[in-house]
Amino acid sequence: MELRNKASKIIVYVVYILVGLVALFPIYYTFINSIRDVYSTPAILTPKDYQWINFKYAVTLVPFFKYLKNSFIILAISVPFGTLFSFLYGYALAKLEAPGKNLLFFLVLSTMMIPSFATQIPQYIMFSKMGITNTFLIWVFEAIAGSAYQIFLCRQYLSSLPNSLLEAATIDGCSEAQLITRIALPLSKSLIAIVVFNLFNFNWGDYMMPYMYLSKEKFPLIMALFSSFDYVFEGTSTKLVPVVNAATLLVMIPVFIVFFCCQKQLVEGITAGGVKG
Amino acid sequence: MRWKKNKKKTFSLTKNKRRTFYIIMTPFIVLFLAYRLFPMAWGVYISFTNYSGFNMDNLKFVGLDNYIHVFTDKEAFGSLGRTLLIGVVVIPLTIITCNTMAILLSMKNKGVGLFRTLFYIPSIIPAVAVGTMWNGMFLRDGGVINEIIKALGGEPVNWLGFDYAFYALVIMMLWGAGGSVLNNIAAIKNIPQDVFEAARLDGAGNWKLVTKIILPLSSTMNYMALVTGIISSLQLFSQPIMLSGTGMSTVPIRPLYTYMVHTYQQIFTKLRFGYGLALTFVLFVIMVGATQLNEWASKKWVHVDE
Repeated sequence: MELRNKASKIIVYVVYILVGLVALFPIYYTFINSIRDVYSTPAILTPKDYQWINFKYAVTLVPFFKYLKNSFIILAISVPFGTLFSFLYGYALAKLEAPGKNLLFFLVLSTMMIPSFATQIPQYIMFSKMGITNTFLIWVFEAIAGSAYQIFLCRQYLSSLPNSLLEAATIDGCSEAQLITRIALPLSKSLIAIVVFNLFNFNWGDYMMPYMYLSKEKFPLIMALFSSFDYVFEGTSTKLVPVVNAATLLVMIPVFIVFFCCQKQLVEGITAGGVKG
Repeated sequence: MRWKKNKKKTFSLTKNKRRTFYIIMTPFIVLFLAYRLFPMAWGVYISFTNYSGFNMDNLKFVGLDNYIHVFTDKEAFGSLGRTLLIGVVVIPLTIITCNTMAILLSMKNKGVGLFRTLFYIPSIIPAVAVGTMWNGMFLRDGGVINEIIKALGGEPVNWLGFDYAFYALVIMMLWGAGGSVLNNIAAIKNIPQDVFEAARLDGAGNWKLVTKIILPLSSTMNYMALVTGIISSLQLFSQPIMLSGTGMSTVPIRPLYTYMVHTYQQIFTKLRFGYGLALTFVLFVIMVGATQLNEWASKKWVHVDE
């Protein structure tokens, strides 16, 4: 839909700018309040001070890099394996034929409707009985079981791949495995980008599984920063808001980096046939 | 002779495809059964017992007691009502915002890509970080929202106290509500341009284009947003805790005490696993019911492509 008169176009731009300001302001506000003195009152619209040392406190008052390492372990399991299995399941459900396929697709859809807690809580109780909590094993299971939403996304996207292409490749001597690696995979760059982004974002920000399964030693960064706001600082345990703010910003940086890497695919790629009805 | 050979080849091809399908899907089937279905079934069983973490060997079967307790526990009912109310307010506002913004952001205006990104950004920030940010904004003394109210001549309020925490939560959740806007934009962009042109020639104004073309053709996306919105709002857990600003280990104040927070309290603090699981499965049934109701109602408003 296009607008033809100038006045309404101006109104639209005013809305754009207002919405942009509302979207950015909390981030800006957190920023100006991360560089004020730790004991000062909040800054309102402009920075009060430039205490960059708060960022140093944020990474030194808690064992930041140890927690970051834990986050990386979780991501190293869930992003590559989660993407691989979601892609393969999606491919099988979109492009292969076998009895029972519809039932399996229905099971995928039903796991999408089953709220995560209804399986997570019993899983936790069961695993703690079996004594396999406090390991990263659960993320391996989670990756192989596949996220219903990502499988669905892959299946929808790969369904739009023309069958004639796969048939032509078969005639040229491609095996079933080669159809996946040589034909489907190279044509799914934007799909992969979206799935990687989704899995990265979810696992980076997820607090529920680490909260249930891991002890404090093994917490990923997000849990370590937010399970308590109290820092031991100058001998006393206090809530240091500017340091918490600095930590909040640090936690957001990886999300933004991955977002800007996948942005083109996220903003345009979905349109190409990813989520159609 | 010739077709026979061909048939043989096709046959081995389908056999091949079938085998590949089962090879790929085997891990899914195994984990679905062992990792999702079995724990859930076991959880249902536990919800009929008095399991408290240590009494596995002399587990007592308590029949429907845990479930009866869900319906007599005032806390459970209060928190469920509160959770539903939050959903009833947040979900429609989210869908309205996303549709409005999708219409504005699907126009071919200069710089629209930038604004699309800006509108989307809050929805990708981890929920815990969002909570911390808004906790600072809502502070009673020195928080920017009260400062703005003061500058406009109003009375500052205690946003995180009993009377206003609900509104604070709703505002915070709406800020991060842009997640489905890209789907809505995709739906609008899929509408062929000549549909709009034809409607224009027939004398349709902007409002007509929105109500007669854009909204019906976005209804599948809105249906998805509604379903996922209901499911996630019934499970609301981290946002209220983070907004209250005291970390995961403390109980948030009443207006932020949602059903899931109550469930977690039962399981992780009071170790009432049987009761906690009963709470879980009651919510599960409510969710399935809501989804079914939605499915039924959708026949009346969701536009299906023939």
